[in-house]
Amino acid sequence: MIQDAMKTSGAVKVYWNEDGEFQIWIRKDFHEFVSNAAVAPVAQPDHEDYWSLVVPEYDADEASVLMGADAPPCDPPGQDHG
Amino acid sequence: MAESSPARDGGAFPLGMVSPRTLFLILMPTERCQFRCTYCYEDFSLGRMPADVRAGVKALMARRAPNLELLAIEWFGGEPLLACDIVEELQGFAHRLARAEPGLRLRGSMTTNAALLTPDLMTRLVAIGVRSFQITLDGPAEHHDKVRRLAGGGGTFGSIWRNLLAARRSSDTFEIVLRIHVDRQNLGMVRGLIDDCREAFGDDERFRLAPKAVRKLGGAQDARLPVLAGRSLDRALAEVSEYSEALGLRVDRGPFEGPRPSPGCYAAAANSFVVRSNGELAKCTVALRQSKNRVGRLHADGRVELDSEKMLHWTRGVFSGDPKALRCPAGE
Repeated sequence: MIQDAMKTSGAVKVYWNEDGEFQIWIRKDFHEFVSNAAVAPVAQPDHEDYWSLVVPEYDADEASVLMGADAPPCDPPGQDHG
Repeated sequence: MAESSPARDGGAFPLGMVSPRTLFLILMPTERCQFRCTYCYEDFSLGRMPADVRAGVKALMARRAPNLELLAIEWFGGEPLLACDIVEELQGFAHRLARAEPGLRLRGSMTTNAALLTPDLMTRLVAIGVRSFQITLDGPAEHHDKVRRLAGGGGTFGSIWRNLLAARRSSDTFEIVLRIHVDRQNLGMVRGLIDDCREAFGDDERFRLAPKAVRKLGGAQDARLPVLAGRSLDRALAEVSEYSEALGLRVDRGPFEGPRPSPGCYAAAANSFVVRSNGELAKCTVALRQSKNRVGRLHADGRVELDSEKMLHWTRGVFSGDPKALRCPAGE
């Protein structure tokens, strides 16, 4: 699991590009942690030690669950903001 | 570039919360509101979304559309229908993008007080893909009008109810979630409201109820709010839900319960952004005055400038699997 790779500092880097797209980079020597997902070389030459995680196909309904079920303002579970 | 924090466990990675093929935008076309609800936490200081921010929203959607499977737009404010021209402009743009990109699914939803949601406007919004509306009622008219008054004075229940009844008569395809607020003051009378809802909407599958607690969310009158808490709250919400279901009404139990629970709050997702009316980007729609919630800016050309460290704070639950951080990343 990718979470296991994250237990090691520097093994995983995250990044949002100028389009707001989320990128996950994984150091090559940790590739076995993401064997269930596709990886591709990171384009930037100065980060050649990393591979980019390609998020596999997923059930779009999973994403749909995120919004609409509790539209803002949210109902923060078990707590008040403020 | 930010390094991730250590994980606490190895739970399933919530792909829907990180995928670049999904984009959640919570758009605030204005942060003004004609209501002054006693429990509101907003300060109404920002007005209409100006042209350069609207251009940025359109440019961002256009750049992302070819690679998106899902574009979900939630309209929020302030009261979004005070700027319904902006809603129609931006939602209409998104609707045209979705028609041009066969692989792109558009979802539109709106949190509105519904005072301006006339049948004609509802039909126009549905036609461009706004199909889900969250509308709050605070009890029977007499109580509702005490806590949800117009800024200039006067009650609001009548206008909301009139538009709900008109929606009921229409043939439009939509869903309306009636957010039923519960607190210590209205608990004894909320059944009357539910009876009215049963009478008006009970046989219409487009309407659902979502009992919710009135909460202290940072508003000026927080200290005086008659909120329920702890077991009293749990019991009250359960009773309201059970009473509604016994009458045959459809009830939302909350995003983290039921057969398909949400993996987390939108604010915890790496692919979700609040676009405030001044172009600032945020994660949470409640913590609007907190600096940690100012995560970036949307430029007029559609470029997104983000503070990765702040973004990582909000999305930390995705990487740690910590349920608390996933459900409400606004907490410490």
